[in-house]
Amino acid sequence: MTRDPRPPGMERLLAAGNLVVAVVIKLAVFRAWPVRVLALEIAAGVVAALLVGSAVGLLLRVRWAPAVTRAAAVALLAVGSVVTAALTLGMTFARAVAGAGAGPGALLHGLALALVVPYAIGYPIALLVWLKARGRVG
Amino acid sequence: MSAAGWGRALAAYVVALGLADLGLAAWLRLGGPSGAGDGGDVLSVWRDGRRVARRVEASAAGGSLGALGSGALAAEGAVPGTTVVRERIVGGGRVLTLGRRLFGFSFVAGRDGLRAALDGAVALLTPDDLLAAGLYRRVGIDPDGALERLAGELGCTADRLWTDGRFRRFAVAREVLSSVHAASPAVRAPADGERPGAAGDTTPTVVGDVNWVAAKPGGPAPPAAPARSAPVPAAPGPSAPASGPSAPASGPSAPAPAGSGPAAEADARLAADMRPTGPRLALAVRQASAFLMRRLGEDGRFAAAEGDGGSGEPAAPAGYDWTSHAAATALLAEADGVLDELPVRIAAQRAGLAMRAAAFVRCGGEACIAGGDRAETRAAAEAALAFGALGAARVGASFREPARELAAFLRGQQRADGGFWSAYDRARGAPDGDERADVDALAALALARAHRLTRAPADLAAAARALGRLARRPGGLGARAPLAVDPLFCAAADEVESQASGAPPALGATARELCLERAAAAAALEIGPAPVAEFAGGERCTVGWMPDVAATAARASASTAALAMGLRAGQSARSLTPVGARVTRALALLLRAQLPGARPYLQRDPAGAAGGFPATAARTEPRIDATVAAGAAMLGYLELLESRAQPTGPAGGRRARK
Repeated sequence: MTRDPRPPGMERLLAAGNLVVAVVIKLAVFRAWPVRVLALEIAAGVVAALLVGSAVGLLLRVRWAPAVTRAAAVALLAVGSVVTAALTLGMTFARAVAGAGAGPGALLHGLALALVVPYAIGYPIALLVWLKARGRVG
Repeated sequence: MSAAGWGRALAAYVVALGLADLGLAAWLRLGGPSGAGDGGDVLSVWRDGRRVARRVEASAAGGSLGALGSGALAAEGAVPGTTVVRERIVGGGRVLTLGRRLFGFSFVAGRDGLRAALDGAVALLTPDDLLAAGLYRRVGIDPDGALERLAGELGCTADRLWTDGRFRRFAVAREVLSSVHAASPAVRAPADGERPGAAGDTTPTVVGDVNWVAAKPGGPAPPAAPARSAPVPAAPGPSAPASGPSAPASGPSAPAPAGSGPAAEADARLAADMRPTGPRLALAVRQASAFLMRRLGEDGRFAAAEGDGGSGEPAAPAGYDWTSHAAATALLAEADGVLDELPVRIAAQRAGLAMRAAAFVRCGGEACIAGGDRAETRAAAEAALAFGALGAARVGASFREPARELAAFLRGQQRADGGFWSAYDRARGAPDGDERADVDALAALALARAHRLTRAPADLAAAARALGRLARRPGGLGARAPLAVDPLFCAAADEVESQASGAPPALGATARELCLERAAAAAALEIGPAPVAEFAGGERCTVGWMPDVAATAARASASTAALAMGLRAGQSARSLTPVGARVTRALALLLRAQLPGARPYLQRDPAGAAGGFPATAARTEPRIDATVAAGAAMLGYLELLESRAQPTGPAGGRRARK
């Protein structure tokens, strides 16, 4: 196993971030979400596994860590984009069906997005940007 | 990709999503009648809860019976017991057909109808059709049931209709054109414009403000609601004596006045007022009592006490639910305390005697309620409440000792930490089960109420200890009592406070603050406006707009107890107005939900269902559990009104009449 000789600060931070996001995904899909949907569970399981693998790789600073981290980021970004779109379209659907003045309000809409977007879209983009910058430096 | 590149991609994603949102909202919007077949009038003739004739017209034909013309529809409309309803389609919209579940979610339960077109033929399921068939769900409609019905009308299979048909939803304005009363179940059906809340949430909040005392039961009748100014026929109202097929012939007669005369007319006028004033709530409690009495058989057991409530068939003794029985008995006994009516008292005592004879057994050295080896603490607590309420009456001496014995059993079930074992194993002769917050709160309430009779300090102390445990916040997190037990917890805390009157055991401010905090949060977090005006003030169990009657009643009960505690602690009525207004809105919804409600013609037996409450605002089958919950909420509020007028104590004024 080949180790990266550079200082480990950012890797540790991102490893912790990956673990936090993996736990959030597991809690959201397997605990909080009341409906069991196989496709969603498989996607969540794969993304969480990639994030945990990436965290281990980043902590151990092994050669394959960037590749797994990139895969985790891309998977998280893809799933996050779909989930964000489904969430916002679902709330729009509920509002449109209920009619003017009824349905989930703009505040609830914004709150739900604020809870999802940082984990599902912001974080994977940050990971990919960091990987690119790291690759340039390396 | 660089950071700037990711930023551009993210911006593009947000713009695309925003456009998709706007497009979806515009595509699904429920607009006015369009050229897609929306518009026109649907004339339906209803009899015995079934639609017996229908005609769909392209345009309005006036608001009179003349709209029926002289054909078969007019002939059907002239038959006694028939109601003719016109539903004018006032708007239409698209639905999603990507899947059946999504299709079902594309409708607002209680408001939208469904139009299907196949091979040039059109079939409609109006809101009345969907309501009568029980096809509304908490969210949307039952897609399979609706497709089956439409397919039946179009002469095809549901699968073919789903594959090849085209669907739209529509909203209607309903108007009752004529109602030819039959001999007994004559309940006037108001038109949309007359319904309470038709113009939005118009429920007055003055009852929740400083005018609580003015609405005391027995006080001057409030002015008629402007929204219901139309004259009400003097025919027997929903509180008419039992005459429906589901009523046991030998059951005690309902306490409502006869079908004619000044008393019946006054009741009919009062029933048209949907404001939760004291007199109106007292009438609703009387109607709920009459419903329960019709469900009470000669053997003292309630028909369908398991809670299905729809069949009207007597429950099998082996599976009889004594916990529900005790709750219904307690409601009747408490209602007797307010109404002071002999038939209610007789019915309550008959139910109490049946419970004492059939389920009152020994658990070690104490009495308990059980049908086998396992005695549930919950059943004992409900029975203690029932026996306690029965024993409060002057003629209820025979129930006082059972109440004392059950209180002793409950104290024996209490653990050192203040919680209660949830059961007692009679074979082992020892407490069993785990601890549950709902059982703790119910046992605390039962002990506090029992103290009214027993005057045993141990009962009140045990209740206070249980409440102290429930109100505690382990680790600084939320209280041990979850939101769901608020009605029991807050009622128990209110009871302990009022019984203790400042003397030991001091409950402290924790329980009161918790109840007031949650009541204020419930008032602030009320989601609205609802898409269906009639649903205003309701409490939902899940997503969707459909108010749940039991949940609404539970919230009203909990907030009423919080109000009582706040007022007792010296808070001004005005400062509690948000909570009071929330309670009155919930009570107004309960009044609107009480059967036969605004559409008695959709029910097979409106007289038999009269006074009962359905599970949700879009069901027509009465349920005993929902009726008990709603009745208890109304009684709680009546007690609050009475205590405001008579500060000497909640029970003193009422029992003195006997």
